[in-house]
Amino acid sequence: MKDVLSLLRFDLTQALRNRGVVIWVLLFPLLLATVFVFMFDGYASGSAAHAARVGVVSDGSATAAELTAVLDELSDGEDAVLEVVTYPDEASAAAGAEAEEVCAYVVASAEAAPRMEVPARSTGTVDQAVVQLVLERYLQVSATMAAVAEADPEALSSAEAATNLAEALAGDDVLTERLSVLRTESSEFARFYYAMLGFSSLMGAQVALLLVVTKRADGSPEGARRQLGAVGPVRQLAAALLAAWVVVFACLVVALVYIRLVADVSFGGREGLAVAACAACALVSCAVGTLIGSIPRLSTSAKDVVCTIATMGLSLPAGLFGTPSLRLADWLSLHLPWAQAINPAVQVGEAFYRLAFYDSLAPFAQSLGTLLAISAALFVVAALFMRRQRYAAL
Amino acid sequence: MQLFRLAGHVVLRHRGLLALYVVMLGAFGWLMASYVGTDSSAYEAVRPTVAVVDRDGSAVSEALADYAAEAGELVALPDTAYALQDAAAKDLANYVLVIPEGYGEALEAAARGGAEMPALECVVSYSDASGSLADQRVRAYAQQLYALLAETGLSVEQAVACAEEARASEGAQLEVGVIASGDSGALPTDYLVFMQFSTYALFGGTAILIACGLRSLGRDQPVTARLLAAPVSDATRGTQLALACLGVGLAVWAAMGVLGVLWCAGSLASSDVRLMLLAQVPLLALACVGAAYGYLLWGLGATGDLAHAAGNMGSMVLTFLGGTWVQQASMGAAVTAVARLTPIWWVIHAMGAVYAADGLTGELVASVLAQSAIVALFAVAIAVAGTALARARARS
Repeated sequence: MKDVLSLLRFDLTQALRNRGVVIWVLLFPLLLATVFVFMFDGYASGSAAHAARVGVVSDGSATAAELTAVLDELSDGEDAVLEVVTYPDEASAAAGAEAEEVCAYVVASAEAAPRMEVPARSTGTVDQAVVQLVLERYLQVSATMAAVAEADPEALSSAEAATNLAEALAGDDVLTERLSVLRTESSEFARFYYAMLGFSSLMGAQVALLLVVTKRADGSPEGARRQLGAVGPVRQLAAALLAAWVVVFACLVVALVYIRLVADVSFGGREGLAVAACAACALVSCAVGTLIGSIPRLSTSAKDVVCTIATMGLSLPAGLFGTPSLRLADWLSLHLPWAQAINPAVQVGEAFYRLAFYDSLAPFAQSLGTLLAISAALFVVAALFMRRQRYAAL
Repeated sequence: MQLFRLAGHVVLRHRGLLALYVVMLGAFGWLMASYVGTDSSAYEAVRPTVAVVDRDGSAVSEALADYAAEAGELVALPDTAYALQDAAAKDLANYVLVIPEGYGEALEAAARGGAEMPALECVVSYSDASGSLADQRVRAYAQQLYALLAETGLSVEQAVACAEEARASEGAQLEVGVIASGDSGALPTDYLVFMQFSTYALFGGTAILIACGLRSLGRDQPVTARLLAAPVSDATRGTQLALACLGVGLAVWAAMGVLGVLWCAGSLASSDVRLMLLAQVPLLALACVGAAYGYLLWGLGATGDLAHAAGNMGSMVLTFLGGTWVQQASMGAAVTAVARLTPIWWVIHAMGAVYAADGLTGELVASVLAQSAIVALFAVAIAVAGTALARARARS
């Protein structure tokens, strides 16, 4: 036991003195989180709650005035749906739309029904759909009145009845109540931070990789000498893996504390369990590093490249790299769920997600179980690799 | 020029680094570009993903459920608390409509007899405004039903049919046109996004390629000791190495340019080649900055992890400040003030001007060249600092 502790101390020192470990496993996630904090700061107020800027070109007729009055009404107050910009003619409105001053412009005239024009460079945006909905509601009043005139003529027997129906159609009586079903308020930015923890876990694989190649006979000259040392290879490996786990776990906890306190990312009041999740993440990190470190007939520099590519490649479907990768993650979850289930970076993000947002701890426990299973599988494959090369290299 | 060729070959033979910092980052830029899509000549309204939990089963709730499904992409969702949490947490649906039990009767009672208006329940996605849009659509339709029930003698079934007829009628259809663009040669959005993301490779990738690739020609390496004994003056040797660094920058710039054209070939078909070339000028200047930064790192003796860290972290911070990840217009005043002191901000700004241009004009060319010159000044300043530091270290 004493010799293992001595080896553990040595391995910890070796890992912490390695510049790459300090930079990539400890500092890089903190830098990434800092960039996220600044990046999302401008959006913190919520991109969903803004008025759609729309241009209006009116011919000054009474019909056009009626429509512009409706649009103006919707652009009043704090909860305004629209922000109306008036243009003197279509040419200037088109220029404004192409310069992205407005999402679209509306032509209101007495001669034709309202028309919406959108710039070719950005069609089908949510803002345009909001303007479309407003205009369609406006058109549907007269269309519904026409339908009622056929189905129930008596309902329009008087001018007052017709006015009441028109006002009711344009009214806002129906209520929807927004449910809050999650343990803690979710945001699109939380996913990035959880994915970042997955990325950090995989970056941590470098620690195990570093320590494993210095223990294996075919990994490095130092490893060859160690294989012939007084302490058996299994105990050496055990000490190395324990040291790697301690280092990665500590780095993950530092990242966790940083994003909790600085970025104000919620873990649903379950910070203690989040630390436990870090322990599982550190284990899977060690397993990935051990597997790459044990690949036979591959130089250490090539293993470093494999580790980097694996880190980036596995983090992509975890949704780390912006909205496109989030879409890719959602697509894979829908069509290839098994690919997400065996991806450790995805499972790390999932674990924190489930911890923060679900009432039940069962999904979180399931994620931890998956991480442990992935770790076990990777360790088994690594052991098979190591077993086959153990004597050949000596 | 023997040393220039040698250094260039040595760097460009680091295939792993080329794969990582040119091909992989180029693919990353392509992924980002593919997300924004291309310009369109037809308008198609956004369709949020929608899930419906109907606990009522009335004619009103069925009509609402049908409408919600028609207005978006329907996602199946079981009526359990866990499924609702799952949908909200994973953003499986932009909008989940929950129609409470008895809603149809309560709506009719509110419309006919002035009873209290019942409320629909919903879970709106945090990800974007699509969920709110879906909510507005559903409310608009429910309002239509409510108005018909309140102000006419129609039964619920008749009101639903009347609403359907009105929505399908020609008069209710909005004509949506796409503005006929006069600037047919303008750059497409996906190409702009690709170029914006190529700044990471042009700055950080170039720097890392040089710092790591020229390691074998470092001050402490035996090859350098032999080169010092060769009949070549210090100035000539230094010039050739600096030119080799510049050559690497040019190679990365050319590679990213070719990848961009290949990946965005479809959308670039109608673009003005002169605008494409003009947009490459600030990127070329940035590649020179990357080369100068790599030369500085090499001169400082940065190797391995340190060079990778300096390249990647520098690139990440500068691309963020420059506006690659977040639009410049969305940045706060303080961040913008700092960002203007960095080269990538000017590159993105110049490319934005080319993208917004109707066509090639003298004013645009002058503006882009001026901004590229500012970027080139960064390259000169960093290269001078690198040379000074390298000479100081050589004397020490």
